[in-house]
Amino acid sequence: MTQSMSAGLAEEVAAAVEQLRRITVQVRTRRAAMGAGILWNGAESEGRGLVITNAHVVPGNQATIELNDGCAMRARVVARDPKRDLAALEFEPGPAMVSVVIREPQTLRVGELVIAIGHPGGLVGAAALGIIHGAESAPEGRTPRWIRADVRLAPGFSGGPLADATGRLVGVNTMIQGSLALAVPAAVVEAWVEHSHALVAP
Amino acid sequence: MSTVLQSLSTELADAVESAGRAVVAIHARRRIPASGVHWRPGVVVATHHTINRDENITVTLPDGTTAPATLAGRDPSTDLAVLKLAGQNLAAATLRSDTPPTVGELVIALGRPGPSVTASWGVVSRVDGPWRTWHGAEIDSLLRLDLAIYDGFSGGPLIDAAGRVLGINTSALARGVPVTIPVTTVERTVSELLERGSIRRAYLGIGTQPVRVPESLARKLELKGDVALLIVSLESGGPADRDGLLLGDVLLELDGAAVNDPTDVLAKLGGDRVGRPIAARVIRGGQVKTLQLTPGERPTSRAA
Amino acid sequence: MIRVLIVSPSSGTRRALERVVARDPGLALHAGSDTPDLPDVIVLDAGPESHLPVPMLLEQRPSGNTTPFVVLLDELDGAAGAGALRAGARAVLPRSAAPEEIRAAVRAAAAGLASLPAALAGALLDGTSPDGTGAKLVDTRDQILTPRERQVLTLLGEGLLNKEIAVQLDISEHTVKTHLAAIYEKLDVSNRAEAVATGLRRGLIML
Repeated sequence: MTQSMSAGLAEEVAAAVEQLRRITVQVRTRRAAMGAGILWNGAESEGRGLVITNAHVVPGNQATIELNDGCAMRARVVARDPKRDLAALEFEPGPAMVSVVIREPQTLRVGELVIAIGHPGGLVGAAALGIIHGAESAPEGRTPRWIRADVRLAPGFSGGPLADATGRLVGVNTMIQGSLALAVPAAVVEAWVEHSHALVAP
Repeated sequence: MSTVLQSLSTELADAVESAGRAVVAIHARRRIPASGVHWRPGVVVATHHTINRDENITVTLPDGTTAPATLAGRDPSTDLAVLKLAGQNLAAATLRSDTPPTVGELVIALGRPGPSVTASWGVVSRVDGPWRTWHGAEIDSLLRLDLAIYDGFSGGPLIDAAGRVLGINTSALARGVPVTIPVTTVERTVSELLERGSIRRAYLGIGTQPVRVPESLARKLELKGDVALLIVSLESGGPADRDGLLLGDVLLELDGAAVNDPTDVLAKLGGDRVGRPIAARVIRGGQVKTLQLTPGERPTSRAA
Repeated sequence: MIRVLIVSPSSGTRRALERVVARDPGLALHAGSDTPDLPDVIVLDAGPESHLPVPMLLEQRPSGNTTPFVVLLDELDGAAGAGALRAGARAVLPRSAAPEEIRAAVRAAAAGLASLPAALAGALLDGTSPDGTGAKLVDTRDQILTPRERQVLTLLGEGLLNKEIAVQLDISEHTVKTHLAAIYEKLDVSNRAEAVATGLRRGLIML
């Protein structure tokens, strides 16, 4: 890669990170260590502010979320799936809320670049760059359980976004396995949000 | 939106896809399959330490089908093994042998510990010159990697961003540190293993221990260094015994090169030295003598 | 014939040591300072009557004289023994040493080797370590590999797997693992690569 190319790359990574930071929140509770969350806005949310994170990030019913602009507010756990390790939080959204864009179609290629955003050790909005390691093989037509990425994460990344080179969501960072990161596929989160009883508008 | 980032992402994914067509999974041990590279038509290269049996070896191809393979040979000193695969229409790896890898070069380590290919990325952290492994084999250059090792790493290829193979990865040669055996070393070893089933080495039949030559003696004999090898055991009837080496001789040089360590001796016992006399300079009874030793072929215990 | 000179402040001890030397056909008494030849080995008895600490005694040797000394000490503790060794003694023994030990030390000194009673090696080394850490007492018998273990080590050096070693030696794989454990212990290593490297360096694996 030439010098101008690598400089261009650095710029683009910085821009993608900035974009992703806007849809990443800090999730704080009394009982658990700080994690991350993703601003979610599907048809189901209907004007409600929705944050998706890991169930293990919010052990109780309440949490405080802090947006990228520093605005902090209370949020309530409205749905939880311990098996998938997902949780949804509701909060009072401001007027111009951004939300994450899901990557479609969702077949990932091994070797593709991915970016993760999280808050490791008190550092807010840290980024990690990696590649798709290999998705777990799944039965015909079904989404694999995990997306495996070769990216170095730390506990503060839990619940935060794993995005592709275009800044679109690929998964929710959930676990670290050796030097690999495991993320819940975005398709699984979408399906869960769609069918989750508590999240469907009355 | 982003172009360079997307281009790089696509480039890497393309490299994985094209090189992955020559990566196979090898079933030659319990638990996790090992990775292997279809190096030449019908020839698969793997690492020696991941092949735990000689028979009933099968290989899973990129298309998901399984085929039987036979072990053609192994070389523990480079941790390489070669399998033969019959009648498969499989792409052979694209090797990069023109330009050597450079420090900082972006590389990907591919594996196939199951049906699908896996990848980790990083950079070449060091390129060292000729290197002798703990068995005394010579590796043309040692590529040290800064990337994550995972199941299926050993036996898989290291590829550049264009998908060309730079060598075979192994975690068993340098105390668990991920390294890559370069293409040139693999090629040489593969050729010899296909031809003979093992790597030929020369043999003298001596056991040595590093000793310090007393300073006064070193000065008197005008020796360059002060560490030499004491002959502590001698195979009865072996090449060195036959050619007049004695227990208690202190070996200073072999073929003009100082020997401070047993690996220095191994360096002079490559397969091409079999049957060719080699000058051995020793201290015997306070005097320096030169003997001509003709190495024989190192006996291998492994059944052909 | 190794010529031995006995130096002792006590005539009784000197005569006893002379008898010890006379019993060995390979050793002969050196007549003393009235002969032009140098002795091959000097046995120096530091003795309880001697008021001079050993290192000073040794320093009384004329310069250029490199005849090896075997020193007999009354109290063989770390400090005195260490002092003697540092001053250049080839062997340090207690005065109560057995005749065979004294003769062995004399022969070793003549061959250019240093020797100590094995049981005291650890204590003497304790005395020499400036940071007070004791050295391990090494019993060389525990380091010697049995013939079978040497075979296993050689096959290890060829890169054979446990299963292959078992087939080659016609023993069970379990037995191979037992041998490996013993080899690792004796060579003070923790894996195959280290065992091979150590085996090469100790002359246990043939080149």
